[in-house]
Amino acid sequence: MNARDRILSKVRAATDPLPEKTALPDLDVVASIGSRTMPDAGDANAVCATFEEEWTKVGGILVNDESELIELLKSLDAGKGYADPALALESLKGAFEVDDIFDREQVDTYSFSITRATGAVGETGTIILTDGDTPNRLSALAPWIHVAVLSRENIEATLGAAIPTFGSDPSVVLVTGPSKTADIEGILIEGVHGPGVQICLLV
Amino acid sequence: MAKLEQAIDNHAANLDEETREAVRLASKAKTEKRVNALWTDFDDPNALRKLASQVRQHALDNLPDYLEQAEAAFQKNGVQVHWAEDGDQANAIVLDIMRRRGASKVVKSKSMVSEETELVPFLEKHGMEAVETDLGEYVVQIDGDHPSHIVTPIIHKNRRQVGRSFEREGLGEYTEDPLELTRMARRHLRQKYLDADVGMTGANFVVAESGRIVLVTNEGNARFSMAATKTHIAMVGIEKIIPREQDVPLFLSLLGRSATGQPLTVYTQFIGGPKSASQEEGPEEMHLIFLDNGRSDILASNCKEILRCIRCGACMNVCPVYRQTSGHAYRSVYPGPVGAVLSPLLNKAGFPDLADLPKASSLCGACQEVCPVDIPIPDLLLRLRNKGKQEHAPKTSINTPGLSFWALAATQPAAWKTGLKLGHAMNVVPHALLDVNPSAKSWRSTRELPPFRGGDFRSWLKAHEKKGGAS
Repeated sequence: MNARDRILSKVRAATDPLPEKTALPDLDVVASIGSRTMPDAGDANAVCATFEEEWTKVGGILVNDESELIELLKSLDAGKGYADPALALESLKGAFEVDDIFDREQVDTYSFSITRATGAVGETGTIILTDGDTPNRLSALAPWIHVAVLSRENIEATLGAAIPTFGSDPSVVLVTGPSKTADIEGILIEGVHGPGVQICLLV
Repeated sequence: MAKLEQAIDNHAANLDEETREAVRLASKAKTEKRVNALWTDFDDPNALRKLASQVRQHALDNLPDYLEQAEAAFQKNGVQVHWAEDGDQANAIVLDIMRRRGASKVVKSKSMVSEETELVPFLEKHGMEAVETDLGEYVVQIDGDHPSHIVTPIIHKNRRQVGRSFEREGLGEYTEDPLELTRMARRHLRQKYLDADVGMTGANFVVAESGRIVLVTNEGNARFSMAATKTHIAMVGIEKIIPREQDVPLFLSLLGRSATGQPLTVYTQFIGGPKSASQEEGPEEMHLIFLDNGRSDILASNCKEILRCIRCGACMNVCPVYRQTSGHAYRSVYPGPVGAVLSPLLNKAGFPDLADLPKASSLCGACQEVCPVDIPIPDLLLRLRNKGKQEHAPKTSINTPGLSFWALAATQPAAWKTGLKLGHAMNVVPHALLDVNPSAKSWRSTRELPPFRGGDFRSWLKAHEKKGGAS
């Protein structure tokens, strides 16, 4: 017997004699758990409004169009950036130096990056990044400012509703605000390893 | 003060005031955050706890089936699945993967299970560079220290200590500013990620149905470990199974709120396999190591409920003993109430070595009240005290007054009667004489013995019966 078989046979020996096994709660019971911030899934406007509110609450910044984004980046003294070439952000390219390939060797020269959000969760104010929609994982993580471009129609009410949209993507990342820590004396600091400024451009 | 013989008492007695205060304040603040988050967001958080408890217990009761289901699902996703009976086997698997990949550098995301196997010292011994990337764990590593809390590893340190450590390690000039200290760590660790060959993580949950691990961090270090490296190794305890992907939101709701008061941790990753073909960065290989290390024995024991634990740390934050002693007093990877149950059972040096931990509790029950999976920790502590007695573990009996005298009195009516008469004598004897017994002295150091007023019931009952009062 190898390690696998020995472990499984020990686990089986532990669970086989149980006179009764705990039942698995029905999925609809588990899925019915919603917090007070859970929006009505049938009301797209309510779902979007909840997302906007919760996203702001967790420290995310919202912008509604490209010109607003340009103004915001200027106010943050942004320099060179990267944008996913699939996003045709023409006026942005006029305002900043924008690469369409993320060069790992120059990772710290990008002050901002712009990538696509696959979706979002209203209830928790969360954007969803996937391998499929992010050409370069580092690009959405390493620069101080990250902008996720999110289509309003891809916002789901709850995480449970968003899970089926994950498909077979091997790396689904839910991002709920800027990277943070409270390891030193419980004091909240934003921008540890990931972005210190997390922006969502709603389109 | 009486001589304290319990290791945990000694540790608490010798704790400096600064550390005690840091631990007490931080754990109190986290307990309040948890209560606020759960009761603001839900009408009845207890219903969530019961439901989560049921899902976890179901998974454990059917663990062999779910492990096989998970293994097949991971393999289908292109993940290489390994099994390790103990820490040594798990560490050897990691080393073997690294050697086959020609790797020499690993960045590690926070994982309690790798603390259990002492992975980092093992890899360093074999010439590998292993760097902890969670800010707190990084400080623990450079200080040669141990985490004192499973969620906030340096709860026992203050900003000045961190500042001195960073200065010593050459991260920058001394500062006490937590913001500047965090920036220093960001700059230093960024290069470590980019240079590393392997990203090592644990997992908060393992979803049997989909073959994905779910991993949460606030700092983004697990995400970075899986963005900058070419190999991902996840080491997970066999008990981490969640049956269905739709069960995950319930657990995330409880985990974030119970641990830090957040509805959802900042980075929540669902990882099922190596990077996709079009992806420019990230692991080409993903390995999952299922580690037993004593868990199957616990599953067969009368303490199996402890395996439901999702490692939120709420029980230590609320525990009056943890708040006074800090985590190191538990002399093991898992401190606090969960540790008092889990650590003696997982202990490499055997149960008797940590048999005192189940006694480090007043059985107040606060740990069970806050537990997101409703583990009956006080009951489990009692079962382990019994185990200690049955197995004659010496540490179970330290500082416990012997019960043989009481047992004698309780089985001999004449001795009992004499004892009750003697009770009145206590009212005239100076109480300081009691101090010959160390336990009595320790008890008396903070309390006054009340006057003895008992011993009259028997004579009262006799007189009452004579009067025909008994019906």
